[in-house]
Amino acid sequence: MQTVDLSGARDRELVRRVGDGDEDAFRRLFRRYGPTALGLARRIVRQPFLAEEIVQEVFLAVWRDPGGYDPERGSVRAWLMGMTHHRAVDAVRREEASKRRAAEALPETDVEDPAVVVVEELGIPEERKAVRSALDGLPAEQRQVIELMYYRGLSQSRIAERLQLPLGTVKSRTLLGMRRLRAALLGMER
Amino acid sequence: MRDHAAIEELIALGALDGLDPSGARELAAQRSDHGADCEECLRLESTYDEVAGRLAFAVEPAEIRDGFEDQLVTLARGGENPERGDDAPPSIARERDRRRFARPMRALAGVVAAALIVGAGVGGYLLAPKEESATRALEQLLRQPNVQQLELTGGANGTMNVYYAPGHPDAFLVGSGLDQPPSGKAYELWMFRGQTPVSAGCFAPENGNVLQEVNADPSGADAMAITVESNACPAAPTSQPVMSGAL
Repeated sequence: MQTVDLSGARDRELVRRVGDGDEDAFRRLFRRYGPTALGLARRIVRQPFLAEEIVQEVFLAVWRDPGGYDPERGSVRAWLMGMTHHRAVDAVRREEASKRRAAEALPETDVEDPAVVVVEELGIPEERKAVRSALDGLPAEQRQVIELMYYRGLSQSRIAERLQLPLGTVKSRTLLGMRRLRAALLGMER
Repeated sequence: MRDHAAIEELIALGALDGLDPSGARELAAQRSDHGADCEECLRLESTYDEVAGRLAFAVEPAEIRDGFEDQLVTLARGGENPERGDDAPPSIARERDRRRFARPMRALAGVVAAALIVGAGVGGYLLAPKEESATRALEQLLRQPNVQQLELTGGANGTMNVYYAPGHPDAFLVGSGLDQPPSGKAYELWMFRGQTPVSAGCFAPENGNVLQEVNADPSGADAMAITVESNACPAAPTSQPVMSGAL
């Protein structure tokens, strides 16, 4: 837990320095989270070029408006990944045709991606392990809806259609799963 | 303390970007009902956003290709994209994160608050020379001690806010990231008093940006909404709102 806190403080300091126009801080922030953001974007849009464009846009937004980050609303990493996810999901939903083409270009992968990539900063591999463990700890039906929603960019109604479930069931499974993840990752039962 | 069970479900789905437009509208309506300062809502939003952000780390990171970091820095510094030969914005720029992570812009008063609103919500757009007149009028409005902000949300892309001050004759619609309307169409802003809509004018974004003066005081209205209408700017809406907000 101490590592996480120190990491968060360091991230906030990097964002503060980006606000001062510090290019080195910007590069460090990118090296720290760019690979994860790109992995997430590629996972959702399944088009390498588009994923790169999304990540580029996210980090340019950080450079241009670092004040958009509010420490009271969460961590820097959640902010960055949230921006990446929003854009990627927008892309998926706006470009369904492109998505179909890309599905042939890049094979779908499970969350447990076997690729081995060196991550510059310490702390992130531990984070990855913790998140995967939290996902593994979910009941299968909760994990399924959360994975379809987050990693495939499907909306609640699309998931209901695909799984042939009532919309209310999709919503309740999502909430129950998110509550469990909240407890596992943030140590918050409520 | 009021019940948060229903809104918690919507917030959790929203954090995963899983809401349909109808769900997003429902969340916006409930969020408005709870109030911008609802502490429990803010807590739920921040914690579920945090959980969602962590989920990214279950995915294996991708290798950054050689030259990408330098290209990014070059663009950040205002240079041209060395690979694309232009600095056109990516096609999928979105501002939704601004709504969810930017400092909450509650109803603020005074010059300092006005400066914050301009800085956080409009950015460089206010510097466009051809908008100087409107900009000055907006700045004047924002200096009013009772300035109010109404965020419009819905299925359309972008961020849209109405700034007004009860008793002040003019209001402003300010936003960014709004898609161009289809050919022959325009966006139309409405003020609803009860079930009765009153047109507040048609507009079209410029490069996604909107700075539209509204010659009316919305403080007596119950809600505001934006629809897509013909360029003729009809006197009554003919389509469902793409964005709306309750006063």
